[in-house]
Amino acid sequence: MSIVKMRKMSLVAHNSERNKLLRIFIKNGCIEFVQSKDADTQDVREYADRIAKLESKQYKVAFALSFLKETVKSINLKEPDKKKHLSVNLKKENRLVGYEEYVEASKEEMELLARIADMEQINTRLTDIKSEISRIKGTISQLTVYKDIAIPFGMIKDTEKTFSLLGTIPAERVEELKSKMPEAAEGEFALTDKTAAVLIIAHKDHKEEIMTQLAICEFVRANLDFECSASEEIGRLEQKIHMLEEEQHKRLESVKGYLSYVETLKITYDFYSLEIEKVHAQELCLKTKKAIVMEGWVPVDKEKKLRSEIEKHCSRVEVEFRDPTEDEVPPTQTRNNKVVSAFDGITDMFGAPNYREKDPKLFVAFYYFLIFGFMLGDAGYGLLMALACFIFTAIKKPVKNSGQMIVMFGFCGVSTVLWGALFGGWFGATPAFMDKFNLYWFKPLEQPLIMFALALGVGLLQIGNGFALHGIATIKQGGIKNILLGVLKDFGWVVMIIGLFLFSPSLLSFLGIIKGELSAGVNLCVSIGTYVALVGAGMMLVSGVIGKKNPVKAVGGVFGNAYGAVNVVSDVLSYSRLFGLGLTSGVIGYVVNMLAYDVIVVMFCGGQWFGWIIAVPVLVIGHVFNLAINLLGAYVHDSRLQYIEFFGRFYEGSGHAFKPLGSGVKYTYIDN
Amino acid sequence: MEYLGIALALAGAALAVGLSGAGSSIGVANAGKAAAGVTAEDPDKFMKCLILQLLPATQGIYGFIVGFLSLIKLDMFSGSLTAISTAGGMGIFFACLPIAIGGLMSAIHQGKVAVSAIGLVAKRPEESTKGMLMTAMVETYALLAFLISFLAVFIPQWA
Repeated sequence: MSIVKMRKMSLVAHNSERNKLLRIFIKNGCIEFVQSKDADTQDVREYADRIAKLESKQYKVAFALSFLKETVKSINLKEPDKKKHLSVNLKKENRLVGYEEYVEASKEEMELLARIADMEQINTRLTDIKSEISRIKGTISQLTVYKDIAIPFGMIKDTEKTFSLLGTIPAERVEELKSKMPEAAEGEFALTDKTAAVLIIAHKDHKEEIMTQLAICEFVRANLDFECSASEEIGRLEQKIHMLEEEQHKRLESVKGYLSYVETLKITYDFYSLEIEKVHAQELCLKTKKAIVMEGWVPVDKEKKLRSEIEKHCSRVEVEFRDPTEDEVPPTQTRNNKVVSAFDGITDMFGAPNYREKDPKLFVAFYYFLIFGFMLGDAGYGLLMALACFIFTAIKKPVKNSGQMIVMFGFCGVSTVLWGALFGGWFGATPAFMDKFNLYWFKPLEQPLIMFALALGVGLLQIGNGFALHGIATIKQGGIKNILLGVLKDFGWVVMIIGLFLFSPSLLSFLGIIKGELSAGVNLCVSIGTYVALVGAGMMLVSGVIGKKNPVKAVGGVFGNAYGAVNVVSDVLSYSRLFGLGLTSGVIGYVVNMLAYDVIVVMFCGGQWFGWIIAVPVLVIGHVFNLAINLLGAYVHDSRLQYIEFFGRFYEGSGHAFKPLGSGVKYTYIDN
Repeated sequence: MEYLGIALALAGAALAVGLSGAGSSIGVANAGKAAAGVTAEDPDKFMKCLILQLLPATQGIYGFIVGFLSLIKLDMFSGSLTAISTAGGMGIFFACLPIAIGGLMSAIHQGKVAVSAIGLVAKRPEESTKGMLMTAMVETYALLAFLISFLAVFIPQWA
């Protein structure tokens, strides 16, 4: 549990060594570049050009990946009954990729870019086909209304004496129009739901009269440019759609051939990421015509290896390491054992510790573990969680840190088993034999006050711990004032909380856990506790005076501290959520069991076997729902307690996490 | 008037379940509308949005638990009706109010924060946990209300 010491590397090298050096840095993954003093910006344009070039290639690769993903989706949609669906996995590859492999992949760059160009072409064609099909479908839907008019449209023409008109009117106007037609006119009507096609052939003498009638009936003249009849035209268009769809199918099939490129694409994408990182790193360096200066932070334990590698591969290099000076702020890398680092995600989300701060991860891991189980509080659920998470990790073997979160939930599952066993909760019930032999501590539903006290006790413990950590940090800063503050104020609180804990025996007997008369020991504990708590409170209040010469201000400081106690009390009460969430999961589990057994099996089915047919799904769904909703609650509220109640006491998280060269990869895990 | 006590207690249980459920459904519905919009743009964000949408659902559960405990207190599941005093019924009625009111209001407002958090997921999916935390802050007050309702319904021997 510690923050890794950092050393500052400074290096002067001949320009010819530059690429070799960068490669060594990436392979080792242990250096974060910083801006050299006076690094000028003369080459900004050159760097910007290189980055733009790399990014445009990277963009193409990204296109190919998303194209494949989208296309596979539409292939699957077209073949819904096929059992095995194709898939494109855009998650990180679950294996370590050596730097050589990236370089190897980049050698095939031209080939790959050509494939991507093919894909772009297919993509354009597919889009064209799609819009063409929808355009044709639009035309067909316009033509359908005319499909019962059998005359080829090329024949609808004016003659010397007659004129003809083709168009549509609203369906409800048909009768009206028919009745108003002069006798000399021939009309043909074809009805669909809403519109009717109208073909009128009449003598030219009646033209004006007919036109007026048509206008009243909202006639719209057809604007068609083909000679055959509508149904023939529709047939032709449908044929065309069929051909287009066939082509679409063929194109989609051809995309399947590109699926084997997915992994190469991913690696190539990350190769460009690495190259871009390299250019960004060089931007930070000071340069002359012949030489380059590189500076960066290296974890102390990597220094030896890095130095030897540099000396082995590069001859025209001068490298030195030194400790950070007072005013430098190195990046933070924490290193903990496997159990503690499983909980890294919680602290990292809040912010990495400052380089000179204490690493809180051990404490966070402990309290997160403790509180999570309390909130879920059911051994059956815990068992499921732990098994699922650990089996998953064992089978999948996630590389690097990718499985941390799952391992964390595994441990949380263990904690849940422990608390659940104490509470006698196994899937919302207590097995009969446990009841018989009293194999639990207490049942929250029977003695809720004990659980309430326990929740606040956990809160006091964690908050006291927070004060102690803050006190130690303050004292370490040195100076009389800081030492006094740390001892009186922070440890005043610690002493007070210890005093309060001495009350617990009497509290327990009050709640009926310890039976019988109060023993002398309990009474003694209470009186000692009272004095200890009073001393602590006194220390805390007195600390308000520190550093204030004006007596009025000193009194103000004392009152200020007294007022500050309100915050602490409210923070402790915030831990009552442990109680609330713990009860929630217990009660819902209980309700599910009752619904399944008492209501469905006994009440509705009279205890017959067939009652279980309905009861079992109710049990499974109910418990899964309960687990899911309470898992979410426990995760979120447990985090909150760490961030607000615990970190609020002592932790700033103002550092920035160590991001070595080569950490910006997106689809792969680099082996370094 | 023999059963007035029971009636009052049932009214309390009804309010606890009904109001907090109403609040939760408003909150979840609002968050769901936003979630559907974001998922339409990017189906991969579905899980993150769903989790945020679910956060205002808990108030309804708290209310349900309080209502359920009231029924247990009234010995409803034995099938027979045991009368309790009017004062006792009144007591359960008032004990149910904190989660009824607190659940209703906090769920509605938690839903609003959830909507914003879903907006956050749309723009910066990697920060979704922060959105979750902000949304969970509102829940504190529902939890406090639930605790008081729970203790007040469950601990005294209502008769």
